Formats: sequence, structure tokens, C-alpha cells
Amino acid sequence: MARKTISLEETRPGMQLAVDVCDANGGILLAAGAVLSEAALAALARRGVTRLAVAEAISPEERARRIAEIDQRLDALFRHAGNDPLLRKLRETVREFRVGEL
Amino acid sequence: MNNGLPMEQMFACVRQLPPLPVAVAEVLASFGRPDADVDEIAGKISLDQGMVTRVLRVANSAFYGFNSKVGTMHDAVVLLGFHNIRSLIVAAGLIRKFPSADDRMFDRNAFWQHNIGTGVCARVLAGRLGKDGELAFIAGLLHDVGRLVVETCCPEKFNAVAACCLADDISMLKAEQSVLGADHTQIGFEAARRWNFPVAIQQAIRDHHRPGEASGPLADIVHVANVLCHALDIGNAGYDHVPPLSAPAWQRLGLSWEMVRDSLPEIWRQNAAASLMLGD
Repeated sequence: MARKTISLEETRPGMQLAVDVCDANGGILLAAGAVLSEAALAALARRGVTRLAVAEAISPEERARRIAEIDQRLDALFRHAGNDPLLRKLRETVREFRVGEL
Repeated sequence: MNNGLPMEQMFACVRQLPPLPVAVAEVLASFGRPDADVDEIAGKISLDQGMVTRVLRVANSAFYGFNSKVGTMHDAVVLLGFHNIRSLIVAAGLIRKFPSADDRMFDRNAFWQHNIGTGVCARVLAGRLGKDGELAFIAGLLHDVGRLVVETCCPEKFNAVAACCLADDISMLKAEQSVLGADHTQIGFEAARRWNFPVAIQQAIRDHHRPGEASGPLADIVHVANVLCHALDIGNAGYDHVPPLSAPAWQRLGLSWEMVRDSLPEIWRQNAAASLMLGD
């Protein structure tokens, strides 16, 4: 599932948390995967949380755009790789992972 | 060709390096010494609040999944075990010793992010291969320490290397050879010897770009981990391309692509936890 970071004001009950929300010591206030309730949002606001990463359903067009972005970045990172078979396989493996995360 | 500092001058530079924090030096020395006095070392670390904060931030992260809060260094040692906490102590100590500063061109935060990422890749790969993950993490964390040495001891030379890399789109190694007369693996090795790092870590630092038969498995792991970290685009090592991957190192380790593929989600998760080390 893709994720996006939004402000607490934009967050609505029913959205799903994509990344743990932690306090300054790394203690977890709310774990990834939790579906946000009114009460949870109010509690986070009291704890001074201002931004959250939530799961995001993306359109096929948006997905295609992000895959193109991934490929563009991989082109740059692997620009000196030539035809090296190991690096080609590495690139494929990383691409598969990246696209799978979308 | 070589119009920079001769290698000897570069190494004289290394001799002016500040000593490591005592706790970090002792923790590093404790590898391979089962009789190390855990309580004494934990006690020394507790004196440095900045270090304690960083260790506890990671110990409290979702990665370790403790139900109750890890509040003190003593709790952390008890809950994680000395073996696991050593790598956190070394990371926290070094990041404290070489923090990011706004007045420098060098983005130390991105530097540490690359080194933490490499450490995490090394730890996860080592785990798959049945090797010591914590030692691999530390070796990965320290692999580019030579760059930190150059940046600390002669920042103007460091900037010249960075400019050379960017202008000619060449590897960091070539730029360093041309500007400094020595590269970060050689300089890092000198620093690691001076700081009495365990020998396997010294070799991993020296050979991480060109591991050979005699380099040892740790150097092979750090080599692959560094390449993987570049491919995953974690942090910034000072150059923006994936370096060559040694086929002999790959074969010596007995790695497979299935292993790497299965490791990526775990690397992602651990990297998020270990990165809590950064920041104020």
C-alpha cells in the first residue's frame, strides 16, 4: 500500500496509519496499521503530533507515474553499471521491491 | 596526475585525530572478549546523556517491540543483552563525536544515514549467512570512516574531492587518489588501526571496495552491503551511483538473489529503527 504524509488537520477518522507514531524517546504512541478513530486523533493532537503517514489508495495513473519515477532514479543510480550481469540482477531485485511497496 | 598531498601527509593528518570516546573504545575492544565487564561499560555510557538518549530511542522503537518503556541504560542492557546493545553504543558514540553542523558543506546526516544503512544491510545479510550480525553492523557503520577523517582533519581537501567527483562524474575512489594521493579505504584503515578497532573491522574498512581472498568474510559482507545500500538509495555517501559489485566476493559468501530479495523488507524495517539514532 502506498503512503503519504499529511497534517493532523487533514487526517480523517477511518484512515489507516502507515508508519508508527513515536514520542521523542522512540516509544510508540500508535502502531502502523491502526485505523484512526476520533479519539485516537484527539489523543495524538494532545501529544503534540502534527503530521502523520497514512495508507493511500492510488489510481492506476498515479501508480504508473511513480513507477516511472522509480525507473528514472534507477537509471541515474546505475548509470555506470554497463552490462555487468550482477548489477543488472541487483537493479531488477531492487526495482521489484520498490514497485511492490507501492 | 597527483598534484595533491602526498600519502604521508595524509597519514600525519590521521595521527592528529581525537581519541574515541572511552565507552566506544571499550565496547569495540570487547568483541571477542567474553569476560568484558558489562556493568562497568554501561555505567560509563550512562555518564553521557546524549549517547543514552540515542541508544534508548532505538531500544524503544517498534523494531525491538518491548511492551514497556526502556527507561535507563541498565534496562537496555538487561532487555537487549550486551551483545545486541554494543552496536547501538558504538553508533551513538560516533554520531555524537562527529555530529552534523550547519556551517559545513558536508552533509553529515546523509553520511551517517548511508553508514547506518550499510550497517543494517550488513547485519541482515550476515544473519542470512549465519554470521555475527552485530559485528557486521558495526563494520558497515564504520566502513567509510576514512571520509570522516579527511573531512575532520582537512575540510578543504575534502571539498576538493567532492567537487572533483561532481565535475568529472568519476568515482569517489578515483577523485580521492587524484586529489589526496590516498583514498578513504587506506585512510580509514590507518584511523581504524590507530583507534584499535578489531582486526576484522580494520580489514573490512580497508578492503570494502576491492575485497580479495585474504580480506575475510566480514569485508565481503560489507562490500555487498555497501553496494546494496547505494542501490536502495539510502543516505548519501558523497557520490550518486552504484559502485561495482565483486563477483568473487558474492561467490565466496554463497549469496543468492532469493536471499537478497527476502532480506529487503527486513532491511527497510531495521533501517527505520536504526535511523532514530540520528537527529537531536
